Amino acid sequence: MTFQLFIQQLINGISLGTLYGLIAIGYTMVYGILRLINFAHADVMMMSTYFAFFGISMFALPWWVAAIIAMILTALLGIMIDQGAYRPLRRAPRISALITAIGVSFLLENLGLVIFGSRPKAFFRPEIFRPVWQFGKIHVLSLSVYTIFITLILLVFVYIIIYRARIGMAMRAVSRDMQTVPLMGIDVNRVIAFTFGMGSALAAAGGILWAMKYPQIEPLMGIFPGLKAFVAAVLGGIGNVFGAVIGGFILGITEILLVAFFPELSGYRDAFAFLLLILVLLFRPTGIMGEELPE
Amino acid sequence: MSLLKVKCLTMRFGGLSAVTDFNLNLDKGELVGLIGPNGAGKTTTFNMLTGRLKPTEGSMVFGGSDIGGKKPSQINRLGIGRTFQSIHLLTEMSALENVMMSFHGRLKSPFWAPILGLPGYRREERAMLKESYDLLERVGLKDLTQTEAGSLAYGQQRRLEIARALGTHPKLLLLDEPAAGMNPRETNALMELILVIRRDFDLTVLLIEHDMKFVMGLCERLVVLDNGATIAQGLPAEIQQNKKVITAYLGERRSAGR
Amino acid sequence: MTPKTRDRWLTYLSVLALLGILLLAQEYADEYQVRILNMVAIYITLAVSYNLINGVTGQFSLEPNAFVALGAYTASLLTLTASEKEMSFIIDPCIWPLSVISIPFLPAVIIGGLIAAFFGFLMGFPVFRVRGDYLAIVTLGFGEVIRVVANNLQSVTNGPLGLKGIAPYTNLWWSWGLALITLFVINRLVKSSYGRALKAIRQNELAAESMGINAFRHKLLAFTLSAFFEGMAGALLAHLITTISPMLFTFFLTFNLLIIITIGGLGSITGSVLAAIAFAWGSELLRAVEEPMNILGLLTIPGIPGMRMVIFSIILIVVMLFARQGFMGRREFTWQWLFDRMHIKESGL
Repeated sequence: MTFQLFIQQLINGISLGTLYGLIAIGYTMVYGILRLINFAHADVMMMSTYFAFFGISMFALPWWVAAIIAMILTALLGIMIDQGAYRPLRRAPRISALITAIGVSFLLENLGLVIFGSRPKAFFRPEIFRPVWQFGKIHVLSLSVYTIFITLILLVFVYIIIYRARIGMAMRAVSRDMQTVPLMGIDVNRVIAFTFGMGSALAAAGGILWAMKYPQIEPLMGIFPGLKAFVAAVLGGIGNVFGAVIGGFILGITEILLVAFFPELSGYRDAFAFLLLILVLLFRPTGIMGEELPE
Repeated sequence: MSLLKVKCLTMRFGGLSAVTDFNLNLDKGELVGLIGPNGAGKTTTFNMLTGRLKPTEGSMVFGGSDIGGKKPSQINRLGIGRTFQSIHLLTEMSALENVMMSFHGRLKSPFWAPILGLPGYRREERAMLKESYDLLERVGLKDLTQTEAGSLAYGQQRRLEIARALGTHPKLLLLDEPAAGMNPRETNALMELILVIRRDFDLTVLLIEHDMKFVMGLCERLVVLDNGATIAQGLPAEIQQNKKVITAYLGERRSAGR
Repeated sequence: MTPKTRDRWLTYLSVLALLGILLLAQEYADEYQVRILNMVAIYITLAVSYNLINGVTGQFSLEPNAFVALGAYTASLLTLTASEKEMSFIIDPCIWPLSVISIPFLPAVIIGGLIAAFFGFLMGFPVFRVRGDYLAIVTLGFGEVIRVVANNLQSVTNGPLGLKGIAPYTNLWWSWGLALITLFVINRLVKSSYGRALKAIRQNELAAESMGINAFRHKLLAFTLSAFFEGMAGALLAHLITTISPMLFTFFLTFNLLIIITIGGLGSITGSVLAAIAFAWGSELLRAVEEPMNILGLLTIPGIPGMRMVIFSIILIVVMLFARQGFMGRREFTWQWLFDRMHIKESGL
């Protein structure tokens, strides 16, 4: 394990971590407001990659236009799912919403299999992201570095929305106390819809960057990144947006470094995230930036 | 003979003191009332006594053993039974099943006994059934045994709570606002019921209530809490005259008595 | 005779009728139909056990695929002969002593169940420290961990290649025998004081605790018992389809069971049985949707693979939105209900 290799893997880890973070924000925001683990979130991310894919391949759009349109479409998809499947169950026992979320997740996955086929499709990697940069002996895919910057820019937007915009204040209010908020004239359903939309759009960004990096998409691609992103959200303190980002970093870095240092354990890399989850839930369930554990 | 010795019991949540320096000595067979304005810390005290909350300071000794830090199910088995302010019944089960549930903690047969149909279990089940019917009759719910607990009238639910608490064979019974929501007739019946069960089951009773007629008419001794602190202890007649008590109640624009 | 005795006799008679049907099936039904009957029985066992922890005790967990896998692998590794193992384990040889052990079916099935139960017991300690959604995720996590481990422990499970050539010991008697035993045991448990305690925990854990019920111990009991039967069902499954691999035991399996117990009614044994039958059957019927359909020899509609799962997902969502208590809710079938429907009074019998 040379120093150069370590730096290289560290950058990969950070890059992976930002992707986990982007996806994790959606989980944590929805959980913060609805106390619901949106199982379908990962599959929404999967759909975004297909939206972008068809934008580029069928409509010959420039990649960044396809990406933005995909983000918008994904946001709409997220909102649709909330309004159609979760909203009717707002007053139902939480288990019902959870089961429904699992159902929606499966529906998206299997619809994907039926419509898109199970064979992976190659995803377009734009010219600008293709070069491999060299710093001495360190080789880094430019995409990995760009990913970090793009994520940071998106996070700035997230910060502005949540802490400076009125809708963000409403979101924070609803996540504290959903019952009294309507009395102050806030339309809770609008806020929730916005939350889903925003979380889904961020997941779309993460998904598209992911698809560019591991340039293959298939209908079940969201499952593992989604679960790991959820672990990241819990690690960082569920309900806390910046916790989700930090959790993402930690998970991404440790996962990459684990495989780098112990290549014989690479088959277990998915299990590692779950073990981390189990440990966190047992010993520090409120996570790193912890808010109180619900229930 | 002393049954419960509580010393310096304190409960702090962060910076807030819910209960400060609570002391109580209960002798066997006593019927004591814990009163005070809302938020005085009465239910919190109950929660500490039953193990739902771990006291920040102080000791609780019940029947000779220290119950501080024990779990609710353990304390329950040692002999403290309790009813709740909000209904804690199993609303989807029948009244009978609710009472039968209270015997489960002391069931001797292991889980495979009912599976194999062992006679030991069958005997225990029969005994539970019999005693449950008996308890329900005592609290006046004889005709409502099969009714879903959630469908019972409020007053009936409170009586079911008492039957349920009795099923755990307590030595000390903590009643949290047993007369809440009852009309005068029901309240009088409840007062009688409590006296009868104290006698029949050899109980010691500590109760929380706001209904002053109930409290004054039933309790032998009163402890008054206000804002977590004990402001008076003594006979009902003394407490009624106690200036501090009157201010505590009237100071909140509440009249002592209903 | 008393209603109780009458009920008991009716139950015995129905079981006899069932055995008669199985006998007929054994003789006259074709392989395909027998296969479906076996799957129905296995699904019944799985659904009723899964329902015990999810429905009756109200602890929503997502790990049965792990227990099924544990039972399947354990039993298969025990029944395969040394030479069969040598043929399968081509990358890494099977570790000793598994490489030489080969025991008959019945003990293998039971040990499969016990191993699953053992893991369930161990898992219970960390798992039941959390509640609600977190419990779901943690059990999902454990389930995945076990699957990933199975995929990687080359010398024990043969990794992604899986095990082939498992002896097809499972027949109608085994599968329905296990189903009936599972039904018997779980039914007796649920109707007893322990069953009531489990239901109490589901309804109001705090209240149950204050009645002296140790919630943790009871949850652990339900969980371990579930794992035991799920493991045995897995063992039977392995010896029915004769080839197993980690791909068989993914979250998809858990999802199928989840659909079954939810549609049947969480907490209702009868519901699980009916839904399991409907699911196994419906699954086969819907297979037609996935195969190309030939209409009158003139038109061929291409099959849409995967449509089955789409349909099941939609059904689940629809059930959750409009009838979330499922088909039976929490009720059970009783002979009395049947008689009430048929207006037969007790005195007439």
